[in-house]
Amino acid sequence: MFLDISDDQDALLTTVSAVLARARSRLVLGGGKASFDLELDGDLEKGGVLDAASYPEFGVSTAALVVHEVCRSASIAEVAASAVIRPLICPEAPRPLAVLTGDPTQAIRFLPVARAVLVLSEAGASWFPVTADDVEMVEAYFAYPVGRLRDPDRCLSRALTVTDPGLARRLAQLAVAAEITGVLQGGLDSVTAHVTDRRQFGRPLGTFQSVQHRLAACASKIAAAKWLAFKAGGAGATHTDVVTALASAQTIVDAIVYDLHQFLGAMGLTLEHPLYRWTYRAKLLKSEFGGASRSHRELAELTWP
Amino acid sequence: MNFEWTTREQAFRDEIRSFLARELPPDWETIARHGPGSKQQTEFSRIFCAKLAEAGLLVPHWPKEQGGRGSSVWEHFILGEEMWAVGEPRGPQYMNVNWIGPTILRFGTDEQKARYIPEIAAGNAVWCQGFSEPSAGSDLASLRTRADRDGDDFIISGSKVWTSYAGLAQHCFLLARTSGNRKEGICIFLISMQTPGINVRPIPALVGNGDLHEVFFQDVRVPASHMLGEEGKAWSLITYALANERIGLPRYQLSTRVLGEVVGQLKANGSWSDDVIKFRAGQALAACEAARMLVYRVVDQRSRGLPPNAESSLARVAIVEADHAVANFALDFLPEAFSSHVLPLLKPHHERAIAAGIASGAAEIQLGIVASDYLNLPRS
Repeated sequence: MFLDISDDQDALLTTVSAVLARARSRLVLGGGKASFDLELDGDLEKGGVLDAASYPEFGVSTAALVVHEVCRSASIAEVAASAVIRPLICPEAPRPLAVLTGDPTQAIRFLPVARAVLVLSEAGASWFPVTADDVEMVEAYFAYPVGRLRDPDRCLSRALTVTDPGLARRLAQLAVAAEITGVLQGGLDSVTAHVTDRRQFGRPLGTFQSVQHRLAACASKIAAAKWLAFKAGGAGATHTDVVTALASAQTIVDAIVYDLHQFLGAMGLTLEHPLYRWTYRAKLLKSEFGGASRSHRELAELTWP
Repeated sequence: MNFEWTTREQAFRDEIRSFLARELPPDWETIARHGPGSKQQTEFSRIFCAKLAEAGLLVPHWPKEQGGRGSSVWEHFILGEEMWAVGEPRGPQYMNVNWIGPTILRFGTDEQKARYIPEIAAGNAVWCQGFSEPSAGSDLASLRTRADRDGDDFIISGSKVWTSYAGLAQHCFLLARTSGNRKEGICIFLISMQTPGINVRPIPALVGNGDLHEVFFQDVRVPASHMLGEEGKAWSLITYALANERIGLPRYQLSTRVLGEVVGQLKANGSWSDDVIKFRAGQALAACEAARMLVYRVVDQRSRGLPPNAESSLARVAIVEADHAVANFALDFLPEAFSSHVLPLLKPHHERAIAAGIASGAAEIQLGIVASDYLNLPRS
């Protein structure tokens, strides 16, 4: 066991941090809910950090680590599918990569910026390239750019089958788990800074025990979910490990999002503060793969068949 | 990152499992129903721990010259996991091997080591910890029990409360104050519970027979040579001892075991097809795995010689949540099992879950530590 970041991973995170710092410097808030930092997305790809899963010295745990770190940022890029799934399942697919897990007519996150779509269904897994002509924009309720396929049948007709649909699904579940832990950590970082600086009743909000205990409980839940996600990417990890990570991440979203907004107060209701960039991603991610209820049932069925 | 056991660690776990399969008697779980502080469990632990010692599995993490085998931090922890997976048959002696013995080994005089270490290593000793007082529970530094110098002795006066195992213990790891206040002036004494002036009153409790006591010290004369460490400097020793205690309890193993047994009963009675039951079972299992991961993270840090930090408090919070998730699952869907003997470990697990958030520093204390030392929130 070695439950820490290795020197190699640390070097990789240094690259990620530099890219994120540049993204932070150009972050503009106050526009619409959905956002996508095309430059950040390109920098991550050029930096090579999205390929870590395919390198023996790194593997999927490192990809999950990269996803977690990038998703802590208020700047949004397509990282989870590209870092966790694509290197092992469809490296030939262009990116950004959107993932379709249900009804082909549904709204799909990242579709407006995607150049390929990975399809996970009962029948198997496949991917197809997309262009802007294939996509119609959907008004964003969550923080992601969201779109819908104009003609799903035509898109699916050019899909290429992937060889290991079971692995593709497990990696997609793991990608969501890592994405959730990252966005929740980003929100917690932001709110922790706020309650440290913001003074009410003559003292910082963060000195009130009611605030301290709830944020500490959030920290414990996020830390556990994060390490479960990293473990689920480790050598020898099982499907049960992956579903444990997904269920654990999805189940903590509601309570943490509630607390983060409570402690940021009215500031968190505005689009001029980035909190929604984390919480509104979490709100959508918690429903992926049927949501926490389905994930917990899947865990129970895998453990006690 | 590496989440895999080494061949040696796996072999060590297998060795423990073989021992348990061989040495745990068929009525062990029935004995465990009486609770960890019960006379039945304490007597059983003396026999069982002696066998563990003979097999080199009681204090494997201790130095070889002290009866151990120099096992790694991870191997020590694996031992704890396997013990908790069967309901912790070491009973009160888990304290001896996890933190009382190591604290004496690190800070004790040669005389103290010679007096206490061999019997702990042989599985013959039962200790209690004289920490909490009527006005010093979570706020341990406010303890008032006095130790006043009288020639070569100290005279101890005061009382302790909620003291586990005191009724059957031979020795007490006692905190008392010689001077000062808060963390200054506190001393540790290693004393016999047979010393004149000590009176023990059992307290009827939810957490099993014989678990909680009041201990009164009325002019108890203790030789100065029974003091552990320097006079008035015990707080750092307490911190060392509690750091050992706080990750010494992989209770999620017992929770996982009980959860599996409850699911087995639900399958047998035809309830398992209910999606709500499956959801709650998965939720409880995920809580156990969350606790496991955070504890593993702490053990890993210790294995690499890193100083204790607030991550142990993160883990403690998760352990409490796991205990309650499993206990509540059992209560919600198999309440009849609490009135029968079908699942003997269910009752002790439930009782421990109640105590989980209170013992060894309440969950709220852990949250406070996380807030100040992990999140670095401002202090009030």
